[in-house]
Order: sequence, then C-alpha cells, then structure tokens
Amino acid sequence: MLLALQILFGVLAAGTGLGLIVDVAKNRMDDLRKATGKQWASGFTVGIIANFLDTLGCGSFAPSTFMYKLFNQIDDIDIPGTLNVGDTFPVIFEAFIFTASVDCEPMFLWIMYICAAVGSFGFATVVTKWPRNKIRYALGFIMIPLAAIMLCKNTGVGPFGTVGTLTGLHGWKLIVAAGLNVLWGALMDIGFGLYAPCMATCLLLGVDGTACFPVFMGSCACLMPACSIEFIKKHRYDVPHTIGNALGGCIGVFIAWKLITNLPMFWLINLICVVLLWTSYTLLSAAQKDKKAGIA
Amino acid sequence: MFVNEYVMTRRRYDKWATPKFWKLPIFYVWCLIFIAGVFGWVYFERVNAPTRWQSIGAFLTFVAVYRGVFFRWMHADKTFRLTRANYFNGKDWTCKTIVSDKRISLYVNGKANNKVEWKDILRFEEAKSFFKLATDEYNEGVMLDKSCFTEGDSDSFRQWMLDNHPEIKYGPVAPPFNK
Repeated sequence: MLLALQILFGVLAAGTGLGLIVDVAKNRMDDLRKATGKQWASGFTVGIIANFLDTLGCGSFAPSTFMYKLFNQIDDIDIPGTLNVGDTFPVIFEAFIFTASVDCEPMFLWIMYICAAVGSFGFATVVTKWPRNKIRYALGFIMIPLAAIMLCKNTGVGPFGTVGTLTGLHGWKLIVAAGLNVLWGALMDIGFGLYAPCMATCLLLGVDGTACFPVFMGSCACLMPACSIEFIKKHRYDVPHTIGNALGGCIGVFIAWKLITNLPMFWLINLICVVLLWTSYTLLSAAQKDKKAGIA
Repeated sequence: MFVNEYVMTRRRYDKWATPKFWKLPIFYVWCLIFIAGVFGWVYFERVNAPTRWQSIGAFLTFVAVYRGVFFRWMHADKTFRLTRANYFNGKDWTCKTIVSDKRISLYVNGKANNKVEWKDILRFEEAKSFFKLATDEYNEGVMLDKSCFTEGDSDSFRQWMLDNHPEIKYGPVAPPFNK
C-alpha cells in the first residue's frame, strides 16, 4: 500500500511537466510519428542508466551526453534541451519517492529547498562573475578529504566520531547547512551539480545517510523546470529521446531507490564516499581540460 | 510612423514578463495542492505518523507556494538581471521601436537590434499600460509602452493599426498580463 502511494505521488509530481505534453500534442506530433525504434531504444536506455547514476548522486548529464554521442541517434544541437526536459520528470519523481520513503524533518526540508531556490534565483548574477575553474579546483580538492573523513567515520577510525543519525538539523548546524545550500544553489547557475556538495554538507553535520537524499533531490527538483521551459518554447529538444529518457529515467530512479533504501548504512556511506571521489575527479579533470584550452 | 522609446528597468521587465499569479487557472490547482499539503502535514503530525508522511505534506506546501506564487516572478527577475549583467554591463538598456508602413525596427541602446516584418505579427494586443505585437503563441513580441511614444500617441497608434492592418487580430492581452 505504502509503495503504491509513493509511486502514485511520484507520478503525479512528475506530471507537473505539462508544458512538454502540451507542446508535443500541439506542435511535435509529426516528430513523434516519424520516430524510429532505434531512437526510442536509445532514449529509453540512456534514461535508465543515467538516472540510475543520478539517483546515486553521480549526476546524469555527463553519462547521458556520452551515451547519446555513442548511439548517434540525435542531433548534437538538441542534446542540451533533451537532457533538461527529459530529466525533469525523473528528477521530480526521485525527489518525491525519496521524500515519501525516508524519514526527514519537514521544516529542515522546507528551509533547505528555500535556500537552494534563493541561491539559484537570487545570486545568479553574482556567481556568473566568479572564476569557474578556481571553484572547480577548490570543490574538487575539498571533496577528497571529505570522502576520507566520511570513510573514517564509517569505519570508526580516527578522531572524527561516528556517522550521524539525525533526520533534521537545528541551531547553528541548520544555519551552516542552509547557508551552504544557498551557495550550492547559486553554483548550479554556472554548471556545478548540487548533489555531491549538498550530500557532503548534510553528512558532515550529522544527518543520517538516507535522510540526505530527499534534501538534495528536492533542492535540485525545484530548480530544474526553469531551464526546461525555455527549451520547450524553442522546440530545441528531440521528441522520442526526451519521452524515452523521461520514461526510462523513472524506471532507473525506481531501481536505484530500491537499492539505496535496502542497502545497509555501512555500504551506503561507502557508496556515497565513492560518489564524492567521482565528483572530485570530474571537477578536477574538467578544470584541467579548460586550463589547457586557456579558458579561465 | 510611430516611435516608442523607453528604458528597460528591472521594474518594467518584471511587470511585463510576470503574470498576476492569482489570475492564472493553474494557481487554483496549486491552491488545492497547498491545502492538501497543509492538511496532510498537520494531520500526520497529530496522529504521530512517521516524519516521512509529514514530509510529503511539507513537500506539497513548498512546491505549491514556490511554483504557484513565486516561480514566474523569480524566473523573470533572474532573466532580467542576467541579461543586464551579461550584455549591458550591469546597466538598464534603452529600447526604441520604430513602427513604419513597411516593417518594425528595434534599436537597443541606439544600435539596430532586429527587424520584424508585418507578416510575422500574429496578434495586436492591448493592456492597461502597453501594446504588444505578438509574434508567437507564448509571451513573445514587440512591446510598446503607451506612455512612451515620442512620435504619435497610443490612441492614434491603435487607430492606425486597426486601419492599416485589419488582418492582424486585435484584442485585449491575456488577463494575467493586463497591467
């Protein structure tokens, strides 16, 4: 019964992307009819794999772009729009099913979501002037000791204490988490993913491993639809890939959700550490690449 | 020929780009979601249900308030500030529109920016404080401030449009944008 309700909530929430449905029905029916089986298969497969990884906190844009180029079934110019529009549904879906299945204090969630939105909308003009590569290096390097501290906490080694079991934060910890979520939300405007830094923040402040998931997923879900609207307006997305990605993505999210909620805490924290290290690697390699190309 | 010239300020942009949220049909859907969320949050707290159930209520209330009330304004305001920062050196910009028999010419900060042919205009819409020559089904088009005509005035422009371009459908702007 609980599972059925969670799925129902998730599907309802994902259904908020009415803009896509209306646009396809009004303007893109021809594209839908002409779509080949290969295109559907490509969108569906990419959706499952990328959103499975996304739910674990690895992000979906990089693996999706890699796979789209590998399958070669979509025009390059449509890739950003397809990713933005197609991933909106799974992201909202994952935010919802995690909120409905993991114990996390409602006020804590509210404050973190508001802070992410304030960061993204209120500080966009500030962060666009910041040096992107320097932030990449800073975040990339800081993720490594954070992952090490979490591993130590998890295995009980060193002076860091044990992993947290809180379902919400209060007092100074809440202020720190909220302030940092404003920053993570703002950094999303210049292409930094929110998942890994938000997850690290919550874990280090003592939040339970699974309780971090609704926090960063919800924070991200409320920021995402803004970009999708623009791509839908300009028809800059591939219809079969977007729909395939959206449907496959929800399945990928569901599989990852089952994995995360059934994984013992010890292994979940280890998995999170791997994700933090992976994020660090992607940030540092992107910074290095841009440095070589002479981009600040 | 009509000339309309105004400075695009944050206030003007937000006013034109953001609808009155309470006049949008979807607002009432968000109201229902908000009520359901508040009811769920309070009810699950009263019956001491697990916090995950209260979180669903919190999530619904947040989404309803955020999307139903603030989102469009926040999005428009961010778009304006980013445009001003990225393209106009952090300053407000001047928009000049010259409406002639042949076409509509747009100038930004004194430089030619775009030309719109009459065949591209789908609708001629009137609001309390502006005219819009709509170019697509969304909120796009050439905006003319009624109080900013430097050649001609709003009444003569309306009459000129009705006389010279009867093929363009005339009507009021959508109620949420009628400011």
